[in-house]
Amino acid sequence: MLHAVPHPSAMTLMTYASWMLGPILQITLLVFMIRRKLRTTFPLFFSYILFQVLKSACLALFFRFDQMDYFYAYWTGNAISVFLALTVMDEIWRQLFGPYEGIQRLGSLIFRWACVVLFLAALVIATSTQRSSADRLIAAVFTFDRTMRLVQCGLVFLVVIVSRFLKSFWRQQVFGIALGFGIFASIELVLVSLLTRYGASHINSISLVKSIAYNAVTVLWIGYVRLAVPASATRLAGDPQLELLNQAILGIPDSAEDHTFLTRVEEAVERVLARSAEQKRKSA
Amino acid sequence: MNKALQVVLITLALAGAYCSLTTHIVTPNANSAVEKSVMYADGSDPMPACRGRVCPPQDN
Repeated sequence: MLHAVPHPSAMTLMTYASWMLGPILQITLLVFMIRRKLRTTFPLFFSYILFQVLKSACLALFFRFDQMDYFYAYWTGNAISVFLALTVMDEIWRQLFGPYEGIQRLGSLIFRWACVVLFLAALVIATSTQRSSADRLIAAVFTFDRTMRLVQCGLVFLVVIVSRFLKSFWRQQVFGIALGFGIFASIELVLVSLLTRYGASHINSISLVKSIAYNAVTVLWIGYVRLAVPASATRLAGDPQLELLNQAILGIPDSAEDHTFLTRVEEAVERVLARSAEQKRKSA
Repeated sequence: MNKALQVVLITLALAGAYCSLTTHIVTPNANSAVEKSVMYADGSDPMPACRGRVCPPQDN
């Protein structure tokens, strides 16, 4: 498939077309999010998409006027984008388990600490190599990027498993957003694998496929924002197993224990009243 | 959700995870012209083929 593009000029044209299509689709997505009032529901996802639009505009300027520094602009934009994508993943988790405060808080805590640990591990790996300080930073971000893509692949597993619990879950916007990230991460990991195995001769083809994949994911997001059931309509609520887990995390006694406690209090009050009545009778 | 779609999604995610691990271990033909640091990136922007003013000739 990578050899299918016959002429370099045709390839360049397609690359430009896909590049320009990206911000158009992203602006469309932002407009739909504003119209559907999803800006407040998914504020971090909204910021992430907005950043993609601004990044594309900046990169287009660099490409046109300062092509030599395009690499650095691309890398810097990517480093910020990875951080924003991380915050979106945290937002997805919080939306997914909105009704379950305990699971939500525990998941967010684990996720954030996992990110810190992964970033520190990436820094250690990068500093252990004999390179300049700038290259070490780049290597650290690269390692962290790859790990985050792996985590985004895991998102696909998570949403597929959750969709088995709830039949209508796959129609939710949070499902669409998570799925989009997961699909793009999976495709990108496969493409990077091809690139590292077969060398740089196919870089333009792979870059084009990646660009098209991201645009396809943006179309998926637009579809979900336009057509999907609002998150509040089919929340992951009411599942007894999740409820038990949530209660266990929060440390709140369940209704049965609560009932037993109240019964004991009631019995103690009755005993005290009975004793006082007996004492009155004896004294009389 | 359709079961076939679930299988496709899981397969894709597994392929991605597998590629992530094997890319880390085996990179025999990695070319210096392609900077690893720009391989993973969101957005439709084209990947830079070279870094700064150092831009070796490409086959393509």
